[in-house]
Amino acid sequence: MNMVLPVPTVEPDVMTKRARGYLTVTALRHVAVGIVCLALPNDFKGDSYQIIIEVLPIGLWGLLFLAGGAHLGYAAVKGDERQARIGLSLSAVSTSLWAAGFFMAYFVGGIVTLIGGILWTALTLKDLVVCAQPMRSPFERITREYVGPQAR
Amino acid sequence: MIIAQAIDGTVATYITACVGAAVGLGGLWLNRISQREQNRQQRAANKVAEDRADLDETAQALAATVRRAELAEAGEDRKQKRIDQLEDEIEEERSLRRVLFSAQEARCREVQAQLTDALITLRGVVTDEIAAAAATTALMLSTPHPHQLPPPGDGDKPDLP
Repeated sequence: MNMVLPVPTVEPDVMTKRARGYLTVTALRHVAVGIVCLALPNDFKGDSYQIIIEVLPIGLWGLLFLAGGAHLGYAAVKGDERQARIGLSLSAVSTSLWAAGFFMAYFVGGIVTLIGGILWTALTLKDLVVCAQPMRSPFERITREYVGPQAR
Repeated sequence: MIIAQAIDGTVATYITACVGAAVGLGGLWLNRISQREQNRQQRAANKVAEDRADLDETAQALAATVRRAELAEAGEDRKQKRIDQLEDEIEEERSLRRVLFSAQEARCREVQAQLTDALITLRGVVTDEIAAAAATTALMLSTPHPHQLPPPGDGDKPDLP
């Protein structure tokens, strides 16, 4: 009777430290923006925000940013890849809305620079870049097993 | 502000919303790509683990073979040492036998020489005795018996009763 040995597999890490770091930074950004939106709504009276406010009221933006930040923070702490991907996708959406809002405000008139749009577009692309990369890597565990604790 | 006020505010709002939707769809698409890449990495890692297990198994079999070879070599060494020891013992015994044989040969030669001397002596004695006996016999044959002596003055006339 032939014995069938189990095929060895490598358990994937929960989440790479790189992904957790980026999630944490994004969560803090969302929370900070959300707090500013809620605490200082009068700061958003300028022409730069006219399109953004037309899309959603600034208070609702604040709530959305706070919720998004909390969601991303939860994903970072728990190392939950599914929640992290959902959160980053939503973050990319909200950030791109603000980027497009700044660009549109420029084209509609009222602001004199594209810097805001450029920066928020960069943040959007960063979110998408992280979405496009694996958040878990079984090779990190293999590297630790082969090289030892100094690989960490 | 060359392009300023080129777009209506409502249109700009729609464009902004569309950008957001497009980015959302793009994010979902990128997530799918990323998960495919992640699954591919996982398969590669599993293959690495499988190869590593095979390698460990081969290494263990190799170590066992080496151990057996070392044990066999040690056994061969012990046997060779025993053979050398026995050969030394045989050589020593042969040397001893050669010495004993030489001593016995010498002793034989000595005894043979003694026997030869004794034979020569015995032969001389026998010769002397035979010669003495022959001489005695001849003397006895040449000497007349006292009963056969002739009477004095009567010639050879026999003595009648």
